[in-house]
Amino acid sequence: MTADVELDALTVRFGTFTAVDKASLRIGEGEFFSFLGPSGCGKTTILRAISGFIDPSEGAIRIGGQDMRGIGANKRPTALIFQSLALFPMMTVAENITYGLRVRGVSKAVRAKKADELLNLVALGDQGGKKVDELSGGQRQRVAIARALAVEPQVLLLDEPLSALDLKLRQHMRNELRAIQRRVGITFIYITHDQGEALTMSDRIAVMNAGRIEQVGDGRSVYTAPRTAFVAGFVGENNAMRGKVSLAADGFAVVETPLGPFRGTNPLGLAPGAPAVLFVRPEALHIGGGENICEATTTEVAYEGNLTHVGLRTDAGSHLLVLLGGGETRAAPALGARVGLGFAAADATVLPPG
Amino acid sequence: MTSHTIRRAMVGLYLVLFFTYLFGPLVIMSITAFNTSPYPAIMPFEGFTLEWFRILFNDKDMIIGLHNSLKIGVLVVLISVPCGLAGAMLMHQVYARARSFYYLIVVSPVLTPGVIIGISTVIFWKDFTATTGASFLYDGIILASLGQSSFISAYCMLIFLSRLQRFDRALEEAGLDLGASNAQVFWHILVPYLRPAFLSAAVLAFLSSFENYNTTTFAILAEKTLTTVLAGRVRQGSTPAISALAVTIIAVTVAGTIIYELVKRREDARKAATMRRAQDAERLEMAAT
Amino acid sequence: MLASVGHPFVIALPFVVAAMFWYIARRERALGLIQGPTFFQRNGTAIGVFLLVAVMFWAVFLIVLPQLFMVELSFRPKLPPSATGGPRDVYTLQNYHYFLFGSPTSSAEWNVVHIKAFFLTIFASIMVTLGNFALCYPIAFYMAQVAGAARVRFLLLLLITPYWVNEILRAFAFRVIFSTSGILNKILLGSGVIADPIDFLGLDIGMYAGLGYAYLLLMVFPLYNAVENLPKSQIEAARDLGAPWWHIHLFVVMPFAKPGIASGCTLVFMLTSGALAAPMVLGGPRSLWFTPIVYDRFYQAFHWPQGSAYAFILLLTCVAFVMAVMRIGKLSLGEITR
Repeated sequence: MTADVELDALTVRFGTFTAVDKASLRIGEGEFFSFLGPSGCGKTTILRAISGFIDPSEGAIRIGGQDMRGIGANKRPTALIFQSLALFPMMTVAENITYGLRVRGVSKAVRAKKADELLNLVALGDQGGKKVDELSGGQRQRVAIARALAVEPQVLLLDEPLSALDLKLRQHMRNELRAIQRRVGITFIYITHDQGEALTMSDRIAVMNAGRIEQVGDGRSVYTAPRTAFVAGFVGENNAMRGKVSLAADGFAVVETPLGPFRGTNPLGLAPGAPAVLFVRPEALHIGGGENICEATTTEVAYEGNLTHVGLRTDAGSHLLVLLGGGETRAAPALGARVGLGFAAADATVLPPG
Repeated sequence: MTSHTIRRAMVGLYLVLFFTYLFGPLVIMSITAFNTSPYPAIMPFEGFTLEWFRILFNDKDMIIGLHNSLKIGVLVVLISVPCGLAGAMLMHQVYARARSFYYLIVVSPVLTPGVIIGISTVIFWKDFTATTGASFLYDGIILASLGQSSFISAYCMLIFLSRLQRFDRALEEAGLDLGASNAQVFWHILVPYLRPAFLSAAVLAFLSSFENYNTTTFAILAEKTLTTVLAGRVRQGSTPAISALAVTIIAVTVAGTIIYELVKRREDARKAATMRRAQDAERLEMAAT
Repeated sequence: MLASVGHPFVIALPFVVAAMFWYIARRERALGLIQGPTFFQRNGTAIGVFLLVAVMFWAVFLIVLPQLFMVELSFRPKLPPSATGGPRDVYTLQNYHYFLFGSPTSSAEWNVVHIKAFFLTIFASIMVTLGNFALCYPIAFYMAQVAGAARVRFLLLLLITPYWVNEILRAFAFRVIFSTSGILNKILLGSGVIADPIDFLGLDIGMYAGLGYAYLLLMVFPLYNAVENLPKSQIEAARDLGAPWWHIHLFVVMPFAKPGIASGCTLVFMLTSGALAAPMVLGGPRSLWFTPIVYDRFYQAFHWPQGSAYAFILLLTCVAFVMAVMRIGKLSLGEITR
């Protein structure tokens, strides 16, 4: 069984500090949904409010259409995977996994069967009798997942569970988490500050900053069509050029920057005279010509095989980053070389400054 | 001789002197327990005897006192461990402005002389039991237990506090999240986590109670414990039977210490093995990904 | 003022204070200054009730009320039970007056014996405390910074063991050594150093040796814990900079170990000044120590109000000592009692 989760103007205040400010969105049944944002943006607070450890100051949380107000953490159809995993050190792996069933009064025989089933699901087969302290980081991760799934939650909440693992294992676990989610088919709500995790795993992402939800969308739209300067800057690398809108027509705008006038898409319909920032992805900047052109001096060239990062300084003193891929890498400029850069207007986004 | 060897020799000399001061008196007293001389002495060593132990074990007052001491010890464990646990658990929850005041109150018995605790216990309970009509509580065994519990609970609280400090609150939340009630979280997660602390608190409470004199001598009223009987005997005069008691206590203590050490070693070995297995698992995992 | 009003007032006091804090906390929660689950939401009803009842019983009935009753009694006259609550049962300072000036019928101007015993106790306790510190600091430092792990464990076991032999037996061990027919006199007589036995106990030498011995271990442990946390690199750095050894101890190790020093000194002072066993077992008939006098007020003179007054005086002294240590070391209570 799975359920949808609805946040309705959810607000959480601690004293005078507002941790979450009027967050509203609907997470669909069986969706893999991520909250992405820097630490302190309120994403963990939202998760703890959904799981029932924090009472909202205002607004409502509905799971499967039912208002959760007044329902304790132990009565909600959710299960939480903690950042520290919070495995019980005094219990074996199997006891950990079936703890939720034990407190529901499920018989020992049924528990043992369920433990085997879940251990197989997370590929821990014969490890049920071990103590938690004997496991590796990845194995603990799996135990935490199995323990949460054992109570058959309608919604699984994950609080940066991969942050303690090293890079290689983290990438491996991403695929595995996604596979488990497809298999069990319930709603996953995932908290992370790592955009790579959010982009690779999620059906949809909510980008958060300072207690507010900045943008909700699938990975592609959040990356290619940011709607706020924060999202443009936080999700992936971006070159930002500040200026003022001088012309706006047909969904495009011209921004007067210290490097000259540049044209880009104008998704929010900024009017002439408005302060604006024009964002261009490093991979959208090309050496040589283009619709928008400027010049800069090469300060850094980092060759990575399939990719080359080129750092440049403009005459106005700002820094630009260019990412050369495929055949372009052969055309990488020498250090100190003066190069002309260009980009297509369709690849640039004009947004109000954050 | 270099200055280094001089320093080493001085440290060695100091250690020898320190431990001579620590153990010398106890060793000398222990030897007197086996001397036939009717007055505790080591020289002249008139002859080896176990007579003083026979006298000691047939001393009726001592036996009654021991009996009472054990009773009080058990009562003190039963009062102090729960009180200390509750005191420690409340420390993190008590209203923030009242916390230092609360701490001051519950830790004050540690810094109060034992005689004062004994005196105040008798004064309060004498009046309290008389007014409330519960005069059956005005009993030496009960008063001594209550008086000792006043400061032994604080010892227990300090033990629980230091263990709780390392407790990951997320464990409690994980229990709740999986559907456990507060009581289930308490019994399934907190209590097992605190098990070592329960053990040390209970042992410390019992031993502190057993050897206590200052508080007990006031609170015991007409009853007697091993220490009060002993104090009476010592005041009457010196006899090697008292030394024999010391030898018995020392023997029990040393045996206890050795058992504790063995248990601890086994535990350490187990922990090291667990850690090794976790490292092996980690290595296997790195190889697999 | 009639003393019959005292008890209801004293009993109500802790409950009123607790209720006051509870009321303020509720107000702040209503105003949104306190967040999170309430006490009973967090603990559940059963555990919540257990916590409150256990702490209430301990803090109120075992700690606060006995102390308050003792203080209250110290301001009352000694009366036969029939006169208690009667017109003669009024608050008075006569018990404290007695401590200073003795019985109204005595001719002496001051209660010299008791006052002298009191100050001697304080002075001797301070001396014992300092002596213990000097004796224990080296071993604490040795264990914490010099010795290897296995040796430290062995030394700790050695240190703990004598502590479980009770105070009276430890004092008795010193009597075996110091009494007129004791081991020390036998040795001195036998070797011809002296012709007649020396009355070590009458000279209070036995008592001071026993007092110094009794609480040695309560000095070692806090010192050891504090010095152990000092990173070895700090000492090495100081040595590297050419600091002489005494300078390192005085200006590097001791300031760092301040909470441990304060903790050890407080415990030893409190226990020594309140010691009963060593003075009773080792004191001669003319020995002066304050606690046996307090004991006698209760169980020889049967003058409980007076005994309470004496106990309160001792308690105030200990409080003053703790506060002085906190002030000198700029420490909080939590740092002293870990």
